[in-house]
Amino acid sequence: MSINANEVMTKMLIAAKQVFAEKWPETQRYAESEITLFTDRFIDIEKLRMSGEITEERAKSHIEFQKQSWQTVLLAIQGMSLILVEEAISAALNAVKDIVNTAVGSIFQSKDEPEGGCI
Amino acid sequence: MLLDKYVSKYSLMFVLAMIMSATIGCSYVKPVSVYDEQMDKGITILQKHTEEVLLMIETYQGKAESTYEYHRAYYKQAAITVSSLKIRSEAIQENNISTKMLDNLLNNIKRFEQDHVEGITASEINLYRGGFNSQFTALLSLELAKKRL
Repeated sequence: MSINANEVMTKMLIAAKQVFAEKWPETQRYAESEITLFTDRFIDIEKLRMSGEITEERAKSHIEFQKQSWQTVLLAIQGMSLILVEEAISAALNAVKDIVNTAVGSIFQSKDEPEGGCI
Repeated sequence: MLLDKYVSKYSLMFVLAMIMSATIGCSYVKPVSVYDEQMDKGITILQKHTEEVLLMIETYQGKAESTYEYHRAYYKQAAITVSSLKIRSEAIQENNISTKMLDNLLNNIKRFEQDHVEGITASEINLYRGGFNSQFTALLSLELAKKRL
């Protein structure tokens, strides 16, 4: 039995897209919400500096503080995106597991197999 | 001609199989590590203690309860907590993202401490509160996302 490459690729894409369609909006909303919060904070730092409530040096310290915080948020988004990609790959592979295993033998192992990896 | 047909028929299958094998290797691959309950609990407790300090600085301006000396123990404990979580994170394979996030958090705790020594006004508290909350939320959000795996 030969593999219909088009059928395999279509099934994989549909499965992967499904994961992104369901879960990416959540990550996007999180990112947008944090961008708004950080923008407001930078405006507040400027206001405090202009009103003389904080010195130039303290204003710079606040900016560095917010930059560190923003980097943390970006790292979280990066991590969440990687998790999403992994879920999409898993979904895509699971969608075609039976087709490929039947055609070329057991390349795929089920998700119940011990964890690990060659990469 | 016959050879070309034979090669083209089976080469696609071969290439597809090789790509899939290379992608998944010999078993299931995780680019992000698994959920760590200690990280979840540690960050939650640290957030609570940090908010307590922020609230006291904000509420007791000009009084002993807002000074650095009064809260010296918090800074020591916070640094120990983050360092412990970092050691756990570094011990877990492929957990570079969480380790970097903890580095950022430790940097901010040290900066907050330095500013506190010099004196912090009530009008600045929301800046620290917001920055810290974004970091705590980021750490917890990622940790909870790992539960899906």
